[in-house]
Formats: sequence, structure tokens, C-alpha cells
Amino acid sequence: MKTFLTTVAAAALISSAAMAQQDGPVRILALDDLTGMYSGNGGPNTVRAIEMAVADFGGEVLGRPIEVLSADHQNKPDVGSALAQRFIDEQGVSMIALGGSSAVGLAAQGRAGEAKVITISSGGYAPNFSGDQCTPYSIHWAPTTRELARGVAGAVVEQGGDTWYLLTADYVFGHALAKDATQAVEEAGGQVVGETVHPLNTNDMASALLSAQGSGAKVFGMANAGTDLETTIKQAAQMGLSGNLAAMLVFDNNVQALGLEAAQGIRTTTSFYWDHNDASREFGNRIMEMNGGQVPTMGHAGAYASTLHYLQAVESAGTSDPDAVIAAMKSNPITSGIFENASIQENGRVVMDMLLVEVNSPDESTGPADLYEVIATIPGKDLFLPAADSGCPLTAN
Amino acid sequence: MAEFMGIPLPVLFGQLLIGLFNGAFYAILSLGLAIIFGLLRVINFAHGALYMLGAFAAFLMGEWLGLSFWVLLIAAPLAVAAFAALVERLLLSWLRGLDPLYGLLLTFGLALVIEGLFQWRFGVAGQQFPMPASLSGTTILGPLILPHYRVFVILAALAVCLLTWAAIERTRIGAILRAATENRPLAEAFGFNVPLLMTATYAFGAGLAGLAGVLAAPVFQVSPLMGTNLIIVVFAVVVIGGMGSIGGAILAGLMLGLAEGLTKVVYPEASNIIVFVIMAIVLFFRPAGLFGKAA
Repeated sequence: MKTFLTTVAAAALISSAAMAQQDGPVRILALDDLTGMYSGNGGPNTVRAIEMAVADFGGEVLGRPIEVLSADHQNKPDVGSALAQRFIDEQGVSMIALGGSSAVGLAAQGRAGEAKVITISSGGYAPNFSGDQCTPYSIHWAPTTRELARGVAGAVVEQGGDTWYLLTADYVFGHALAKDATQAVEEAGGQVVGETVHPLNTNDMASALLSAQGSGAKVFGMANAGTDLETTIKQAAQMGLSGNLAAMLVFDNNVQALGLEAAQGIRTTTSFYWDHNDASREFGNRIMEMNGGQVPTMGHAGAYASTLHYLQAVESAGTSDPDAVIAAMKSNPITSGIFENASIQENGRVVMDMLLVEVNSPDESTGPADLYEVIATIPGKDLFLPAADSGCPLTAN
Repeated sequence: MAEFMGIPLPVLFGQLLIGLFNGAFYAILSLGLAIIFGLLRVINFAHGALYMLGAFAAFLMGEWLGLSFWVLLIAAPLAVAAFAALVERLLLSWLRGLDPLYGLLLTFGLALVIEGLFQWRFGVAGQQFPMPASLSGTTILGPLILPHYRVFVILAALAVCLLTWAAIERTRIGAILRAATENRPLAEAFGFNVPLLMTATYAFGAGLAGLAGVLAAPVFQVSPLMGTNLIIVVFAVVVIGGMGSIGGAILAGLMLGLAEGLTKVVYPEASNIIVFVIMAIVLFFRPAGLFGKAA
């Protein structure tokens, strides 16, 4: 019913005819989960970040005004790819910023690639974006499950947590995370003894936690994200099982929602923490001023930095022609400074330094936004796959 | 150790307890829906939003007034019931006598508005709601983990459902209610104030949803979307139990919770569709639901 209503609404809203590609406004579409379970780590704050980047760039490029549009894909792949198609056909968007469920992002990226429209995924973490489903026009700004899993699994196994039970969300991102975690655990000398695969957006994780506890594993690895992860952490605390949890993908907003009391001590890997360097602090403070103190996630920072990088590439290429712009994006330096040592590989993969962080305890925290302590910086070149090994058809030999 | 389908029995028992816990929520929510549908002929799509309101009322009253969980358990459902009484008087009462579709559309729209407002104000991230200290413990019996709060919810839900059922089937007010449901003109002819009865019934059904919301707050997310995630399953429960059947709604709620719990052990991937599979099977053999009377 909701899908139907949205489709009708979208059809009613979008009535103007397609614009020619090389004159008129440059249109950017934020296609994200704006209201659902992933709208906290992407959603409205992603739209804000993109609008901020456009404003910082001056509001126009090559003498053409820049317009930011947004659409809610509700984490439904059919809705997402239909919306992408419609905004390409009827609004002539020249870049689509993707967030929310990876399944939707991949569907939209495929559609956009066929239409030669640039996609930047700042909020989808499945490796497929820059792997087997890469397109000549796709940029993958978010780190993948591989980097997220490796950063944490190595550290936990080293501390003696060598038997793992995985709680996996049943869709492309969860399975990718589970696969990468399994590999990382085994490479570090540990062993995965079992797995419960649960549907996306599960209300009650107690049953899966019980199975994990029954398996005798020392570590319960959470191969899920968003509200599923929050539910798992909250209910594990109630069952006295918090000590066993390891998180592969925790967002700052999840930690804020759970509270430091429940989340303290959790270690995770991230590409961005607002209080890490001068550029990240400036971005973080500005967006928190606008949104009432919601700590920005790596998705929000990625949306800001990638939009800026896209607009710079349009300017340096002197055209919004997708082939020229994507070439400029891959060769230009990334200058925002929020992500350190960042560059783009041939398959669209953005390589950057990653941070291993630990959630502060309530005593260590100095304010509502003081969530993490950065334990280590992991150089991107050691962590990310080389383009040739990514499985992306563009770089296959 | 005794086993069932390769699962040790104590583990299975623990899983069924969790199923019963979720079934308790289905039972309270579908009971409210069944009562409202029975008398008002309104398919109350706002039920999920009312459930969410209950959780938020408890959360906000706890934050602002510092009330204890036990006070909130009464106060929050009352607040939701008062809100629902207003909704019934100001909005729903205009639709009496019209096709039930109008009531469905009104309540559906109402749910979107309420949830939209809360999303705008609170975002989608869950709010923190502390568990009452006296119930926050866990008893471990060998391989079995019994979180006290979950056991409390099951017992509380059973008590509420039984009391409601008894009140409707065994008391004078219940008899008037049933009379008005069966034959409204005749009940009015006997001098009963049926419009007042309808407002009270809607408020009571909403209060039940609010109560479920308070009970859910310490365990699940207190978030604007918590109701949307649940409401479709609850409708399936009502349909399986038989539209308007009070006992049917309670039994179907608990049974489907158990069925879901069992699915989570055997094949977790299917756990969120099992209710609908059962619904399809039940409707195929008994189109009026398990306990419903054919129209």
C-alpha cells in the first residue's frame, strides 16, 4: 500500500519535462531511506550535508545553478530503481547520491549506470558497489563490509575471543558482512561456530541471542546494522550477554540512541568521527548546529565530501558530461580534508584511512556528542582491496 | 538430553517462552482491534500509532514528571485512551453508517499524521527507556535464561486479556456492549446510550494498545515507527482469529507468537512471513477465521 501511495505521489510531483543535459540547472538527487530504519545514519542529515556542500561550493557550477532533489526509497529495491529511472528521465539529474539499504543502492546504481548517470554511494556498505556490480559511472565512498569486519575482528580475536557466533541480517549487506567477518576471524586464527540469519527489521532479537548463547561461542558478532543492531545490543544487555558482543558496523547515531551506558566499550571501525581532525570538527559542528545536536555519521560526512568532490570535478572538466566528470573525479585530489589519504581507484572505490574506535563510558564522556575514543588509525592502503582483485568488470584482466 | 527436531528441550522451551512473549503483544493489540471492530465496525489502522503513543507517553511522562514505571503503566494508557476518545468524538463519529472503508481511510491517515509528527520531532532513532529495577534481573536455570521482565509481561498480558474477556462475556456492561453490537437499534430502543458506549469502547481499545506500548518500551525501541512494524502482523492475527471475535483474537495472538518463536528456531529466515502463511491456510479452509462466525 505504502509503495503504491509513494509511486502515485512521486508521479504527481514530477511533472516537468526532461531537461537538456548541458544547460539549465545541474540536478543532484539524494536517493535514500528518508523515514525508515536507516534514515538515522543517512536520511535527512544526508540531504542536509549535500545541500551544505552545494552552498559551500557557491550554489552554481559552470554558470548553471545547482539543485538538490531528494526521494525516499523506503529500503525497497523496486521503489528505488523506479525512482532513479524517473528522476533521470524526467528531471535529467546528473548525479545520484545513494544511501540506505545496499540492495536498493545496487538496484539504483545499475539503472543509473545504464543511463550514464554518475552515482556516489556514501551510505551503502556492501562490497558489490565497487565489486561485481560496479559501473563506469559509480563511485563507492562508504567503506565496505570487508574493511569494517577486518578492523574489528582482528582486534577481538587477538584479545582471546576466538570462537564466534554470527547474528546476520538476511539481505545482501548482512550476508556480505558475515562472509567478510568469517574470513577475517579465520585469518586471525579464530573460528565461526554458528550463525542465525534474521529478517531485516526484526523486533525481537532475544531468540537469536539465545541460540548464540546455546552455541557456547565466546563472541557474538553482529552482522547487522541500524535498528536491528540497536535492538540486539539493548536486549543482550537485558539478558546479561553484553560482554559477548562485537559490532562490525555501529553508527554514531546508534550509539547516541542506545546511550553510553548500554554501548560503552564496544569497538568498531569507521571512516569518520566528527572529533578527529580540524576539517571533521568544522563539518560536525556545523551540521549539529542545524540538526539539534545529532552527531553526524560517516554516511553524512561522505555525502558532504563526495558532493564537493563531484562539483569540483564538473568545474575542472568544464562540462557535466558523465565520462569527463568521472575521469576528473578519479584523477583529481580529494581536498575536503575530512577523510585522510583519500583517493579513488579505477573501480570507483574510494580508499581512505580508517579509524578503530571504542565507545566511551559515561564517565569518560564530556558531553552528549563525545562518543568515541580513537584507538588507532588503520592506513587505507593496508585495508582496502586493490581494484584488480575487486571483481569489478572494469578492472578485470 | 531430550531433543525435538535436533534442538535440546530446554533451549526449545526458552525459545517458546520468547514466542509467548511476542504473542502477548499480539494478543493485547488484536484484542483491542477486535473490540473496536465488533462495536464500531471500524478497521482501526491507527492501532499501531496508538501503541507507539503509549510508549512515547510513558517515555515523556517518565522524563518530564519522573513517574515510576508502575505509575506509567496506568497513566500512559489512560492518556492514550483520552486522546482516542477525542478522536472518536471529533472525527470517527461523523463516519457512522458509512461504508467501513471510510473509517479505515481516516484511521490510516491519522496514523500517518501521528507517526509523521513524532518522526519530525524525535527522528527515527530509538529513545532510551529504563527497565524497572525490580524486574531487570535474569534467572538462569541451567541452559535456560529467564529475563524477569519478559515473564512479567506474559503474566500481565494474560491477566489483562482474561479480565477483558470476562468483563465482556460475564458482566452487565459487557452484555449491553454485546447487545449493541448484535442489534444497535434495539439496544437504543431499550434506552442505552450507544454513542457514549462507542466512544468508551474506542477509548478502551486504544488504552489496550497504549498499555502494550508501555510494556514494549523497556524491551523494544521507543521510536515513531515501532507501530508500523507491528500493525500488519496484528491485522493478520485478527483475521486468523476471526474478525470481531474476542476470544479468537486472544488465542490467535498467543498461538501465532508461539508459531513465530518455533520458526525462529527451525528456520529464522521465514519468521516474519510465517504468520501470513498461516493466515493464507486458515482463510482457505475457514474464510471467517478460526473462531469467527460466517456472515
